[in-house]
Amino acid sequence: MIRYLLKRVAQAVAVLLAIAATAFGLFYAAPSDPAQIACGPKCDSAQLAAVRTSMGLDQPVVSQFTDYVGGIVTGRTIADVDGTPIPCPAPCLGYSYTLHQPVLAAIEDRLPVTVSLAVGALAVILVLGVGSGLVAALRRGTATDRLLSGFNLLGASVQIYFLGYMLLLLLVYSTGLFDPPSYASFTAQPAQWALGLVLPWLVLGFVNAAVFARLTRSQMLETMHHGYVRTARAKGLGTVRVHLKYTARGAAGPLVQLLGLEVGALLGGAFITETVFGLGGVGKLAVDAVNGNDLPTVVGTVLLAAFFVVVFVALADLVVAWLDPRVRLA
Amino acid sequence: MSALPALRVQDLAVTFTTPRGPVPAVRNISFDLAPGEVIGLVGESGSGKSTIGLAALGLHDPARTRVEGSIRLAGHPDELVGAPESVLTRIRGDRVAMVFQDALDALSPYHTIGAQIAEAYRVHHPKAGRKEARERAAAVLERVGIPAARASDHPHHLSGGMRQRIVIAMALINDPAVLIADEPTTALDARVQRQVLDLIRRLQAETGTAMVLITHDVGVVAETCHRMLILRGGETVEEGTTEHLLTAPAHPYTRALIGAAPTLRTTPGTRLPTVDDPEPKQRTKRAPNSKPNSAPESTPDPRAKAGLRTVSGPGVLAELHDLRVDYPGRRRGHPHPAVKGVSLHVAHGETLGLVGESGSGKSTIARVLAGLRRPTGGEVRFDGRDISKAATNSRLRRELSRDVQLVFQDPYASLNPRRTVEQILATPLRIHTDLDGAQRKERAAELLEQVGLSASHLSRHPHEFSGGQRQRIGIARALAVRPRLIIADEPVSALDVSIQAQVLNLLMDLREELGLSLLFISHDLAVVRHFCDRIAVLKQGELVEVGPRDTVFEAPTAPYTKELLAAFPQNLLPTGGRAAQHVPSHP
Repeated sequence: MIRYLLKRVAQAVAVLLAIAATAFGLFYAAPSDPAQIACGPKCDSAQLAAVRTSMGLDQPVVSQFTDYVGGIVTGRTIADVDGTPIPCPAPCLGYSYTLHQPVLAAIEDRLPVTVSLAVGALAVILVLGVGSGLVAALRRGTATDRLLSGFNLLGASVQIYFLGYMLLLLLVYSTGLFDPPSYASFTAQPAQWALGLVLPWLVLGFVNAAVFARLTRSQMLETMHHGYVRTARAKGLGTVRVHLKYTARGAAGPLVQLLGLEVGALLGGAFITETVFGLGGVGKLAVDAVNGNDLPTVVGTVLLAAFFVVVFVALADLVVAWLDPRVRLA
Repeated sequence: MSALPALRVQDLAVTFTTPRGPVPAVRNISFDLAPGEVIGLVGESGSGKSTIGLAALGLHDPARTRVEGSIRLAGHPDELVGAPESVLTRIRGDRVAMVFQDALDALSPYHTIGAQIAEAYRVHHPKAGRKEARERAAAVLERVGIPAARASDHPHHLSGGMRQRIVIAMALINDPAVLIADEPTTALDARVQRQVLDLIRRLQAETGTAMVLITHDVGVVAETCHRMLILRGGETVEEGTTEHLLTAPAHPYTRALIGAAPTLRTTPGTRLPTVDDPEPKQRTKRAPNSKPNSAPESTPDPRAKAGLRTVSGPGVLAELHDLRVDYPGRRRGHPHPAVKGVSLHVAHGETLGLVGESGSGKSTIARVLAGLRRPTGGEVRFDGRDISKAATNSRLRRELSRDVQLVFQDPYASLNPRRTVEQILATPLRIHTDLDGAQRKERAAELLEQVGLSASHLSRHPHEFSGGQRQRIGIARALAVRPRLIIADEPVSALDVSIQAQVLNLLMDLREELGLSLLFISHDLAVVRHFCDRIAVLKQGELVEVGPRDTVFEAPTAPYTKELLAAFPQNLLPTGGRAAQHVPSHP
């Protein structure tokens, strides 16, 4: 087990390093000059050179990368445009010269919004996706099954921005049934929090639920044909108990794995949803950073998204191993 | 004996509703099962035997199945056909319990065996606590010969035989009045099969449970059942006491079913009776002793009385010397040895039978000889040439496949469903010969005729054929390039007995016509005895005995061979039941 965890951590670190290196490469592949952006349009060439030195851009690429990675592990001191040192404790993801704050601090400010979005959307996915998949499987071939399939197909084919703007138009601006979505702190105002986010949750959840519904349904139907489900019925267990205790357990593995991927992706930022509903989460931060050529923030958010995916995929594998004693962690 | 039967089935009919309309599975099935009686439902696949078992427990999916007729239990007022689920759940596992065939599939991989057995008790004893259920489970485990300490294991930690015992324990924990056992020993090795069958018989006698034994294996029924029903195509063909049906079967199908499987008493090499042709004439010259003047080696062979074929050419065709094959183990650096130093040879024109239980290394040896697996050590020669590197050298493997072809076990998995029969048969010809398209088609047609199909089948796809026909196509594919050695890995074990008889007859005819050399792998001692000239017995990767067929079967030296022979159903059949097999040879 320990060995497995170590191996898994090593794998995760390797993946993150590769992603960091690729994202870091953007600094040089991009047709813009970070120093120019940081310094502003009125810089003369002497100022630009000074900025370049203070940002470390005159160093070789490799040593800049090792500095960056070193900063994540041990923290480092970054020079501002004018050379004033800014302490950046570990895990240091660099300094945004656009936002004038360390990238990590910028992410920390916006992470609660993204986490709140993810949690709610996940609940919708579980109820709408997994739930409707279960019902469809148990009532396979009936009108309910076909209705749910059609509903989910709608979710899979509609775009977030279309559905989001339609709901905003219908429920907020035309009828005033809902207030415009906004973020309130969960700890301070839980009711506000839920009310403000309910529309984005529904949209984000509904659009992602279809794939879960389909997978749940097909997994359940496949597992139902296993002999052990028939054995459970032959013991005299009732239908519902048979399917919850045996069929669902057998169907769970691939679902958990997909769920791990989904949670990781949601925590990395729901770019479109956040933009449509004007919520300032990590996704919005990343989009703004891309638009504003704020490369340290771009790399930071990319790395964060990758980190969440890697972590939750690994967690999903552990859950699968716990669910199925035949799975060997190696 | 009480007047009321334990189980009464009357005019049972089960119909599956499919998108293409209703498909009848069984019709007009009626039988009474007296308390303590064991009745055998015997038939081949598609005979409806398992359907009857499932219907007795109401386990069919009501949305897709229509069940008609009547099923009643002693001491239970309700009619079971059409009874609501609430009535059926009370009966299932309590009054009527079921033992399923494939225990690995029938047990949940997610729960411990103790929990699964205890659950069967608690479902019907809602007031019982966890502790009581656990104790019950431990007791019933001991009864089936499994230490109660294993209760916390998951099924995948147990052997196949132990898993089958678990399924039996689960069925018996509530002392059911009726036990339905659906092919309870079919998936097991012969020795384990014997143990499990003995266990079932002992427990049945002890508890007095009435039992319905569903099987394709007449040998199993002969040893276990008082009465039997012969089923075919969903209808009862014949019914009566076991003794009566085995000695004086009235219906030709019963005779064929009983005689189709070779036994340890069948005269080797004779044609087996098939369903269409229950009492076959000797087709050809293939009969032993039948052509005293036609061959140069015609000096009467004293061993020929038992149908020992005279092997044509001298010399060794394929040879293994001290073959060792390791598979990667669970941990690095701990390989799992599958073959541990086996030396064997196949002579020109002979059929070597390779016998062993699962895990004995039979199939690994076949893969090495076919150039599909690289040996860890030892020599592999074909026609004197070193072929041990064929698995990693694609040119060598291609050359080898010109001479060595395989016939596989599963006729469903071994033919590409997306290709026509013509494409399947022409592919080896395209690779290995210069024939053009028209010539390949001609050869493919010729091959089909050779295996008893017709040229009009060329444009069809594998799913349009039955299992036996598919296996014929597999054989035709192997024959296409006129190989010098055919490796047949369990070629008949996935087939019904009557189909098995047809395919074995075909292989014997082809062997004679074409002078084939064969490596024939099987777990079935009777089939090997019937078909092979020499026998090699493998146990856990080691060769325990090799010799001419009669020596191995009549005077085995290795204790393991004796054990295998002892475990084989001896088919306590009086001579009459076997009459169909002892076909006199017509010179």
